[in-house]
Amino acid sequence: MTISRGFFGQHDPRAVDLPPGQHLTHGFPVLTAGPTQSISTQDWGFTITPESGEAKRWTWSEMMALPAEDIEVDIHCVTRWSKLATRWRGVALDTFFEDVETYYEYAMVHSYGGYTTNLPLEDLLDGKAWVVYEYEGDPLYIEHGGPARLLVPHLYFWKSAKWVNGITMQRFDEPGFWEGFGYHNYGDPWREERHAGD
Amino acid sequence: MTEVDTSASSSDDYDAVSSEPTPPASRNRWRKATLVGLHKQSWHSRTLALRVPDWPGHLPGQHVDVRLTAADGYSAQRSYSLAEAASPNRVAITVDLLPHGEVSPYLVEIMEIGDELDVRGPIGGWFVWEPGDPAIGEGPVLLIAGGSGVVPLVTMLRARQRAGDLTPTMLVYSLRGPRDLMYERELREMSTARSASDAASDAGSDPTAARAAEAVDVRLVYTRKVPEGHARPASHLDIADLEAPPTWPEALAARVYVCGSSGFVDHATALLREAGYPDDRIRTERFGATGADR
Repeated sequence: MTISRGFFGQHDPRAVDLPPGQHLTHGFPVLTAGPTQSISTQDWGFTITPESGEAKRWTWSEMMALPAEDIEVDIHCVTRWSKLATRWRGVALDTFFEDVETYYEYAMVHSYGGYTTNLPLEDLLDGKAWVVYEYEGDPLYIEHGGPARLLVPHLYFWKSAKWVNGITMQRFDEPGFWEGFGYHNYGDPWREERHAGD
Repeated sequence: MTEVDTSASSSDDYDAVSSEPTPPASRNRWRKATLVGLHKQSWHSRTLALRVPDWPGHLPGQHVDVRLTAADGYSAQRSYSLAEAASPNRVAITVDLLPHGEVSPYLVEIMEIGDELDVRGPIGGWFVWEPGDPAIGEGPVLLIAGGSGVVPLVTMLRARQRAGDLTPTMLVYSLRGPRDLMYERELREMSTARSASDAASDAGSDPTAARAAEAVDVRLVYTRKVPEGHARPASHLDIADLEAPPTWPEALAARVYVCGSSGFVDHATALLREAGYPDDRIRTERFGATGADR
């Protein structure tokens, strides 16, 4: 580690619990590969497609009828910002998967606009992931993925796909969008899995 | 503070560095970097040239991770766009001062020639363009910058110049006022042959014509204050600013790169859609937070 002469830094006492290489932000930066997608709740749908090919689809109002949860979590973006105690409301993936039979272990998450990201199914279940539609008590803004996005707070935030519209189950793991451009396949911020090979 | 001119043209003599994919092990390793050049870009930004032994090379548009470490061991990391086309053992970044930032004040105001930090990279493979990219083919390429978002786009333009690439290219650069203008001289030089573009069609081997084909169409969009003699009045980026040069045969087939604040990128991409550009031609890169903790 190289010492930079004249650098002291701003030791933020709240920063001690951050994953390595992260710093706190009080804003909410945006990372999107292309244009912001605009989808009305009327057109919105969320589809899970298991190996049988029998897709299960939820409309907006069907999702609203599912049991909702309030979630308070820290989030960590691979571009090095972290945000503590963010509050969301949404439906746990466990609830969606109650109606789906699958033996495949890998999920490819899809979004309006064509974005994809891959995760092992076990990282989506057991209260680890949600489809969220409120942020800090307000409807989720479109630049942050509204009307609904995935929330997988234990992984870098590119896994929390904005404008989410479905999950396809896969026998084998395959890279999603950023994973195909050199980001880490799994993306655990505490192990600093930013890039392929980390 | 020592001011050394490290502006682009001085790096053009280097041989092109291979753009073969870099093995992860090499890319992910932290390397010691020594500051060898400083160049003021605007009233609140400067370019830092760093000597980095065995830097694996990079593509225009890629990033570098920067790590600063204090004497007590505290360290802070940030990611910056690479500000020069690849050259052996060399990395440059252009840093804009964020008033209450932790890292940018050090890089813009404190660091001196000979001081050291750590770098790692290159990072990213989506927001890149290098001359000869088969996905771009005959082009054209439309680059749209908001503020310091111009940095990776100028890196792309430098690579294009160095390769003698003739892809029809336009840069639309939105900025507040004259004192915010980065790369002023270089952008002027890149666009000098623009007035000669009429001669291009009928001139065959005329060197003026070749110069014209190399020229980049540069449009400066001042949003608050215009310099004297600038025809366009101060206003935000508008759809007319994005109108393709008449020489472009298929403007809507252009690959488009947009880099700036999140608000700027949303504004620009909305205009692009209005103009008829399909989403799958538009690549974006954003920095900074959205307003009001949203």
